[in-house]
Amino acid sequence: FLHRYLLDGQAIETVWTVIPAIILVAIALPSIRLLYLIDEIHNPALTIKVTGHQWYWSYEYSDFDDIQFDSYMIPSNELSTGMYRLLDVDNRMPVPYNQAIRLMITSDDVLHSWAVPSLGIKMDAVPGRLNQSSLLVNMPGVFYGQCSEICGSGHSFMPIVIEAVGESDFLKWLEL
Amino acid sequence: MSEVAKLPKPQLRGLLTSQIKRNLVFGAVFAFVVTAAYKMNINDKRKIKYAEFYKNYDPQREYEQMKKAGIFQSARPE
Repeated sequence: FLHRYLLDGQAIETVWTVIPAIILVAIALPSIRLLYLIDEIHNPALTIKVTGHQWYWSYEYSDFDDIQFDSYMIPSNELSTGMYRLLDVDNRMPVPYNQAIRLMITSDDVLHSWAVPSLGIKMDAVPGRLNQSSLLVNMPGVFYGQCSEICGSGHSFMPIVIEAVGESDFLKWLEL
Repeated sequence: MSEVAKLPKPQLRGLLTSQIKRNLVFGAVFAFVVTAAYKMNINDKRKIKYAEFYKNYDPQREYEQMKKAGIFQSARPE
């Protein structure tokens, strides 16, 4: 039997508690700073409300004439050439690029999560709660995302598509 | 006894402690070197690539090209 009478080691236990604690504090300080910076006020030009449902998203642009629409995934058997399976939707969410946008995200039924990885955004859609997030798309294009909180059988079939368009085209779209 | 060269007395106690101390130093140096190498060869190179991309990036030009290609639902080409 090796070390049968080895009962404690105060020195080593102190070292392997204190050193990791110092390392964790060194990681935490910049991390907490960034966390607070994320919530800075940035005077958004536009507020969009996103509501998660089973199993689609709906968007409201209530700053302008109460525009509201649902966004359903295009079923695989209705895809046209060039469309992405399980990612493309019937009504995309247009936003102007290079403009600060406020997103208010909630859910109508169960937990969902609104995530678009290429824009670095993910926010839970919680029923009875309004979660705020900010969005600034610095380049035009089409950005895809998917629901990121298990919400039933259609969880994998409620994608998100954002179109970052020019300001003038966005204003034209609003008037439709 | 003949003249036999004596070996230096080996360390008999505290072997684990001295091994740990030596390993801590090697570990710290190795971690520092790997981190520095990663920062220089990967992080900084990536930052430079991003800076190069955005140096002459014109979002309006890119947008017009994308719009002409017809990829937007809400901004159809004229």
